[in-house]
Amino acid sequence: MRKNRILALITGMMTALVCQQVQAADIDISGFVRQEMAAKVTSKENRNNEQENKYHGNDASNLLNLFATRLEIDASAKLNENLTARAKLRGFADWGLYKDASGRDFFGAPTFGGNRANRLEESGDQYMVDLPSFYLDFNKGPLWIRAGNQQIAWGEAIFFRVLDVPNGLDLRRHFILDPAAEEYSDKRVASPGVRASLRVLDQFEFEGFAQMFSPSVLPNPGTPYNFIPDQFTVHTSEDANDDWNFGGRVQAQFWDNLSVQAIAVHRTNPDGVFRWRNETAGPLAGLPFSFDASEGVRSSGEWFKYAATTRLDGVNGVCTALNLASGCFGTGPAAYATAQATLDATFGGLGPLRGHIERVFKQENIFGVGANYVFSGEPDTLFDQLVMRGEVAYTPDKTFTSPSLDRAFLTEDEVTASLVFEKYHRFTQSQSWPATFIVAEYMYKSKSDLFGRHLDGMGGDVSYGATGVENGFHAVALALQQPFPNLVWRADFTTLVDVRGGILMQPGVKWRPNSQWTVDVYANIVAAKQNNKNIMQTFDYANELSARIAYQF
Amino acid sequence: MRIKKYDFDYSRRSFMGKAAIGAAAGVLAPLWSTIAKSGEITKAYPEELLHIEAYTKGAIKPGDIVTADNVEAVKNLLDPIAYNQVKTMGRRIHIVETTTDVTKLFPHEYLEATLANNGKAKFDATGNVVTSDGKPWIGGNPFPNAQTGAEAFANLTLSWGRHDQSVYAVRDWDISPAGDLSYQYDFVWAEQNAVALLKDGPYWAGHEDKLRYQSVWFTAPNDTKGTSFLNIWPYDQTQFPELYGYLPAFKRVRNFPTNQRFEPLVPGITIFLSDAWAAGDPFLTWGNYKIIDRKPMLGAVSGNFLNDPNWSRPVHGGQKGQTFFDTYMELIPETIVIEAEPVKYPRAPVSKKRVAIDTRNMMFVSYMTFDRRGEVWKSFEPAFSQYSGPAGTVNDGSHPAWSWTHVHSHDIQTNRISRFIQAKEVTGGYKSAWNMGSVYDEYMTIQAIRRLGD
Repeated sequence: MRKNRILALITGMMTALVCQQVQAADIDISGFVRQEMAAKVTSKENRNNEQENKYHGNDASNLLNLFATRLEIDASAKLNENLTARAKLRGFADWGLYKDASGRDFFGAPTFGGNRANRLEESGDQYMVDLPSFYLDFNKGPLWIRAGNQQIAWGEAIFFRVLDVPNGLDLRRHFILDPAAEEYSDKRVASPGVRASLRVLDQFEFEGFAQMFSPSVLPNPGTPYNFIPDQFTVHTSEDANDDWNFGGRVQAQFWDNLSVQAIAVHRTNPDGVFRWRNETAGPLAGLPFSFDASEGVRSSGEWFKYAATTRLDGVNGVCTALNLASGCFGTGPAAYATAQATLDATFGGLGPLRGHIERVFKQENIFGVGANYVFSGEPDTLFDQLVMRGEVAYTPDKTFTSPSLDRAFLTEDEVTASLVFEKYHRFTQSQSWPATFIVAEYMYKSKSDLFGRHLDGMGGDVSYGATGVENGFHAVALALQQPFPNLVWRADFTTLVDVRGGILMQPGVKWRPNSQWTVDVYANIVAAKQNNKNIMQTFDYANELSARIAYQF
Repeated sequence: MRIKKYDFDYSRRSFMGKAAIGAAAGVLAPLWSTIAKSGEITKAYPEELLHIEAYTKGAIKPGDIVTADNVEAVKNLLDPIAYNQVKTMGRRIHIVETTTDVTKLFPHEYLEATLANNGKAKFDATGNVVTSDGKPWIGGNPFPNAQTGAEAFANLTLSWGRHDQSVYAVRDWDISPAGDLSYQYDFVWAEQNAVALLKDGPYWAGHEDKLRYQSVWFTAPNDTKGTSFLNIWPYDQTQFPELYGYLPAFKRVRNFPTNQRFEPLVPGITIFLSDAWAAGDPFLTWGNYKIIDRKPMLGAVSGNFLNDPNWSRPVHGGQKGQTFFDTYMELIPETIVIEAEPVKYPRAPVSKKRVAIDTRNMMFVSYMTFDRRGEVWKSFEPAFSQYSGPAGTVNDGSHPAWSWTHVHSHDIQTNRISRFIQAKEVTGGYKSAWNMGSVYDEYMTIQAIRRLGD
């Protein structure tokens, strides 16, 4: 209730202020309608969905991964010399044209009451409407204050989020498979808050924010990009809904070509962590299971397979599910055999079981530094105008999901770092061909993968538990953008490589024939070793050809 | 009626001689000392350079419209692209009287500074303009009587808009080769000089090492709205400006390589950063300046303020009747035609630019670029005016404003034309203004373009 009162107060104040001023201001309204679609180009399906659960004899055959219509309306008004109001309404409707996912709830997430995943959202099974921007900007001299529902984007890496920590991601709309160059701009979860920035001596900028906590939003069960197997029910805690995140950043510019920044953020991690959640009533009270003859786990093989693909430890997961200590079966093949026997006996006796897990949100502190350096080499050399960016973040005592889904979470320090090189290079002196934009990136995470899954949960399979991997998570990315003459066409190629055996390639073209129409056509090509050690395996079903056709007004 | 004391070719011979050796402007008398004494130019030029009717032997007179039917009479007064536009694309050019009162060719304060500071500028060892005591320039044209290409480009570069601050609300239309309207953008272009200030100057304390801050941000259409760029120019003209960009798709500010100055900022537009004011790059990053000609030209330097409510203007020509703005040109008695090469941009698609500069106010009236093969590529044809017309006057303080009114940017190799106006107001509520006080905090910082972009 408290959160609703705060939100109502903020919204009411803003609305009153805007209404008072708006009569004297011109309101600019613009927007677009966009059809978005992704057609599958292989027969591989998302194994996390019941429709594709081979252990249940299912074999999905969808033609589409996405078919949705988006409407965005942007309104802004300059209220006076110092005050601007801005609102953006986003509507997204999924047509549900998926042979094996009909009747699913694509958008509902009862995080903030009703069916809402965010505070300023209304959603139904196949639609969502929200206000990703709804704020007032106050600017006077070196001071800038933005109050209202807003995204805060820090950091500058493609794919990788090192300093980009203020906001979580909403993965309901095409997962992370939109054009990579857009860098999560549609995904960051906006949240009510206040952000202030003050420039000092022109060289320094101090920025701070206080923002209400909003969790990352995961694709719902049974939907095309779902990544939590349907055999689980996720119970999302609302305990953190009243939390506020706080952060500060200082940026400084030196010698024209060097800029540095440092951040400190106290936040409730929007991604959340997961653990078993015991049922409190019924015949299985005290255990994190319920009977589910249709979608429940039916065999030890299914258990181990899905544990491995979701980067969990299938052996110790049995221990913790039974309220025993992780490691209760020892280690090695004997432990696996004991766990397997236990599972087979359980499923044999009780039948298919649904697992219940709880998603909770833990607070953490993140400290980071970053630097941009623009090289000034001889003209037409490699170092001429080469931009180097480095970002490092350190999170002490970060809370991770235990690969065994133990109720006691893992708590470890994590270091995240990225190194980025960017360069515009003109490969031809033909006047009509603009320069090619080239980005090369490297990312390191010490304890978890790109999705935040602890590395100890890697390497399991149907016949053994997780082995874990050593020496952190490493990924590299390369992005190329080649505009065509007059920028009417642009060809993009982006690739992300997990050094443990996965690759995502995203070639595409963008066509902007006139002011009204924009067309994006791009492919997501995913290949992954089936070693349960890389991130691409998680969405290796998503080989698809995507198109977005937008009409703007 | 003035008595013709010189034969018709006297001017031509005079210009040919001066072009070869580099000399002061003026045929009958030195132009700038004439201006300094009287504020006008009639004693510096013979009649055929002051009256289009005399120059064309009666073929064209003020009030006439140059069309394909009569353009041959002024062919040698137009750059080849403008000539071709009239000859083959249906462009029409309105002819007005030559401006002899130079106060109508400058912002008031800028002309005063040019007169007051005449003779105080020199180049230092690095090629930068300094005062006689070695300090950054103090305002006005440093070389009002420019006799070299470098001097002329110093005039163009050190104060683009000739105001301490300028905010231009710009509405742009991009015309396809078929004459259709392909794109339309609203954007704002803002300039804030850090030195050579005309008020509260000549230097902005703490920013003396900078020449200017300049930003541009798009306000429409929706997918381009928020695209913003910030250029921070060092005073040292051998150095590239810092370039920052905010792209809405990224939601954050990025460093951009500063030598990416020869590409359109948004799809379909033919304007590059390098094109601005025919001197969009620090003038010492270009080189091999040479004066190739001195000659009269037709230029859009007066009569172009039409008093439309939003300072818009009629269009005509092209296949769909919308390719060109109505433009008013006058006979400019003398221009210096200069060529320069992008010596510090080894992979630039431009091999050289050719710029014609009106000797009366040292402002460019014609600008063409050439590709690497030496073929003509683009023209960037400006129009200027004192903001005074039959329906009233717009001031830039306590005097009638002078500024640019519109531009045609024509890529003749793709036959795409961008035409844009300085509007009174564009989407977002931004209004054109000059000398309104510092706009640094509002528009010229990384913080500002982040705010403007979101």
